[in-house]
Amino acid sequence: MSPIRKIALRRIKQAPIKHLLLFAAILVSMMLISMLVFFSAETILRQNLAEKELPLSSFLQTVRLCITVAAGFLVLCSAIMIRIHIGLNRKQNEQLLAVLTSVGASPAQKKAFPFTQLQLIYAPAALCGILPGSLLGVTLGRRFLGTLGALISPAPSALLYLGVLLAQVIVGVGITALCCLLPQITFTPRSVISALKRQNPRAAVTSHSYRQSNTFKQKSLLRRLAQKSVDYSAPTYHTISLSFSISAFYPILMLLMMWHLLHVKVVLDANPFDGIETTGAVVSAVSHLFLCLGIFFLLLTLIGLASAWLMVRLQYANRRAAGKTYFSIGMDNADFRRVMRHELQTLILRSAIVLLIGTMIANTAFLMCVGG
Amino acid sequence: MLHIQNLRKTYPTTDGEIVALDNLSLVVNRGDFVAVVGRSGSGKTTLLNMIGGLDTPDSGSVMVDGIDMVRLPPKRAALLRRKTIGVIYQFYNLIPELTLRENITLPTELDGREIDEERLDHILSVVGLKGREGAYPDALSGGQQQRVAIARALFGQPSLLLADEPTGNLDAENSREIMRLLTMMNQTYGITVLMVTHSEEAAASAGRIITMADGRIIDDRRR
Ligand SMILES: Nc1ncnc2c1ncn2[C@@H]1O[C@H](COP(=O)(O)OP(=O)(O)OP(=O)(O)O)[C@@H](O)[C@H]1O
Ligand SMILES: [Mg+2]
Repeated sequence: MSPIRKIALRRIKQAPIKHLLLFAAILVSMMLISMLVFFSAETILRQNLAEKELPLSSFLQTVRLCITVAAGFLVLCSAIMIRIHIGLNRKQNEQLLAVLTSVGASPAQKKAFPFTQLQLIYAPAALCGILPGSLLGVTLGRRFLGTLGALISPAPSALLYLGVLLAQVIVGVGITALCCLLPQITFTPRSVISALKRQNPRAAVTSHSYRQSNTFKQKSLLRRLAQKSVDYSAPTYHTISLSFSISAFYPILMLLMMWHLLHVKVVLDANPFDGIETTGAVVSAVSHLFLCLGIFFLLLTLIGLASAWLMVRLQYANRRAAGKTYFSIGMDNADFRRVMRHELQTLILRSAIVLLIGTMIANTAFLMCVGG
Repeated sequence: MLHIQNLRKTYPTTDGEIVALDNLSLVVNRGDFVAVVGRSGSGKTTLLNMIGGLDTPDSGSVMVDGIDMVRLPPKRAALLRRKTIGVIYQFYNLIPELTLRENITLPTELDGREIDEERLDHILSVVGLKGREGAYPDALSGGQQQRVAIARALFGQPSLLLADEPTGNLDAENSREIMRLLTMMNQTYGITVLMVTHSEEAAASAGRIITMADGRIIDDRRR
């Protein structure tokens, strides 16, 4: 076995929970995305053409649009999640690459490391999610059309499904590959040196220029210390707050989608020619879809919260270790707790802002689907 | 062996430019044991990084065995590093996920060569780590980790060894042990050694002492 592969395998063995969460996050996201894609595909492929002129087809159109939007946001969220997990190992990876460079690993050998990780975790997780997700999507789509009475009996050729599946696999694995290879490819000699030096020059520079400003000097000392710590471990705090906001964004996305979809029924109700038991039919048609979505979104939220919690605990341990410096210059435990509280406030504020912006964007997107 | 000409390196910072190396020129002959001393911030580490190809200078050249490291494509530079240059740093010499043995044989494996078990055995006993081959770096003391790094450099049969404060965080006894090993590498295996150090005692075992200040060589003494 090549040394690079050995390193990748031992990393997994050393931190099984972290990697399990990552695997689960990718698996569930991919399952959900492919379920939505196949739901849309099935409703397009097997929709009764005779119904096309009826408002039913416009309802179907809206459902599909909403689902596409949700799938788009999900792809974005899972891409960010993967980046977050890779960010967790940034320091470790930089040090590894620094040692590899210093002992003369060629550029190709250095790139082999992220590729091995792709092979061991990201790609299997994506592939495991896609197949069951697509089967679920087809089943749900069929049931959906059946309830609305718009299912045509002859199933389209299996080749068509295979095509969609192939496209899905390519897109899914492509996205994961892109997410996990990009940060490593932009690796520069500068980071080798800083990794070997055990320093963080970028954060030091930003906090330095910050320290010069007047507003900063007027803040209380503890608040300033907290601010400096947040500046210094900026990547960690960004990661944690992003992780919290994404976890909270999943149920919000789900609720937004439900709300907008259930609103469409008013249009159906108002039309005397739709030929179906309006409200009841719509609710029963989408109920299975919503049930599945609910389970998936719940899983994603739990996984997201678990990994965010893991990061918080890690950062807290780091800060506790650094707390010794505060004690050595005569601060007491209460002061330290206050510093930690300020840091926590920053974290919560950031997560809330990101979440708010995300919600607004998602809401606009859904409004455009339903309104148009 | 090593020809450095007009090497210049600056770092941009918020308070202007820092000149880490100021048109530095240096020739090191094959088989030399050179100690580089100087105040903190005088550019010693920067010089070593340039020679090892970990950083690129603004101008000037670094010739190792007649090959210009600065203008070499990354792939060839990596090959050169693997075959002719061994490095020992103050921190992070070892990969924590690999055992002691795997760390030592890493450059050879990256090169795709067979591992000479007899040589490995011999080197392990030279650095006094026989019987610990399966241990992970975490389970080793600072001095032992440094000895593993030396063993790795030795196993790769380099012609040039770059050591940045190899005894920087070790006690007197461990420092002496490391210096004994470095001297042995120089005398028994004829490896050219370039070592940065703050310790007078360590510098004393070198045949040539170079003093740096503000990115320049201000003193060059042979003993
Ligand atoms: N990545 C960097 N960014 C900005 N300035 C740097 C960087 N690396 C080094 N410097 C600066 O270059 C100068 C030389 O640094 P270098 O690390 O070579 O010193 P040194 O002689 O090894 O010091 P020490 O004995 O403390 O290790 C210093 O003034 C340092 O501040
Ligand atoms: Mg130094």
